[in-house]
Amino acid sequence: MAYTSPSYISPGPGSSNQITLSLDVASDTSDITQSAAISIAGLQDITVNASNDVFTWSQLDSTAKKQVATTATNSISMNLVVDDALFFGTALSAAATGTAAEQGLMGFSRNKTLINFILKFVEGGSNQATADRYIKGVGYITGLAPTVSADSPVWVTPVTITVSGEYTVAAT
Amino acid sequence: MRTEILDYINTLSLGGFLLSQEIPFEDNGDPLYLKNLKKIYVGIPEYSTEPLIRTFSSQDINSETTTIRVFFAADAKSLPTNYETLVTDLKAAKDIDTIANIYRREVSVETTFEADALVTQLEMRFTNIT
Repeated sequence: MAYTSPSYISPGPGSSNQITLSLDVASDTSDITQSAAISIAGLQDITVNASNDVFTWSQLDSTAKKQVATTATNSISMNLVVDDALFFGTALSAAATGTAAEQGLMGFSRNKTLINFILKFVEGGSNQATADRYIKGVGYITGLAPTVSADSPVWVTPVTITVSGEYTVAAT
Repeated sequence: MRTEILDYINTLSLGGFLLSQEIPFEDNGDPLYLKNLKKIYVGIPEYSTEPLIRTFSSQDINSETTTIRVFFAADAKSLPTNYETLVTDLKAAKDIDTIANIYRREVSVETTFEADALVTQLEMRFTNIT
């Protein structure tokens, strides 16, 4: 069997393979197209969580428990450096009907706005990838907790996208 | 930043010391503060930048430290009576509020002997976000 070299995904700051996350207002839970999205800047780390629940039972004919995966709880968590316009939006009192840029992350959270997201994993052409790879979905912004300290005088905040429904994996 | 330091020192009661607007360059191999005892010189700022927070964006968030040194020398055999007071007052220059948006302010004082002169050097470091 021929050896195939691994194809690691290694996003780096400033590289063409840079990781990107864009958010837009979603009209419904199936709307994952973006027309006026905001791009999340200052990402420090990001984690894609796809946690399937498991139903477990026992059978008399088996000495081991049986299990089956059921529904998944999906979320994307990250930490980022707070950017004024990105966090507060361009219209401080924007309602859920406002654009993504107007609402910002704080507006999304306050208005409980249904948003869609597109997370680019890898740039096409790197290693064995032949197309850009994305994870898309819809959800809500939760878990904002901006913090600052005298030793680290820049606001940073965790952000969670609580995903409603399935992830969509796409390549373009 | 050098201007703010000079302005602050100008407000101090310097006793027998004088403040020079010149930078402490060398004249025939001797720094000016050695040729002119009891004269205070303020150097020009030096800068160093290092990443503070790494992000996936193309630009990191950096901390930039501006270093300014203040020099003066005095006769070590008969140190001016206000020497200690002067050093204390000069150290307080790190806290002047005309230099704003600084999140870390540091100062260190170093003394050396050059022949019969006591050379005092204050190094002030102001760190901000860029």
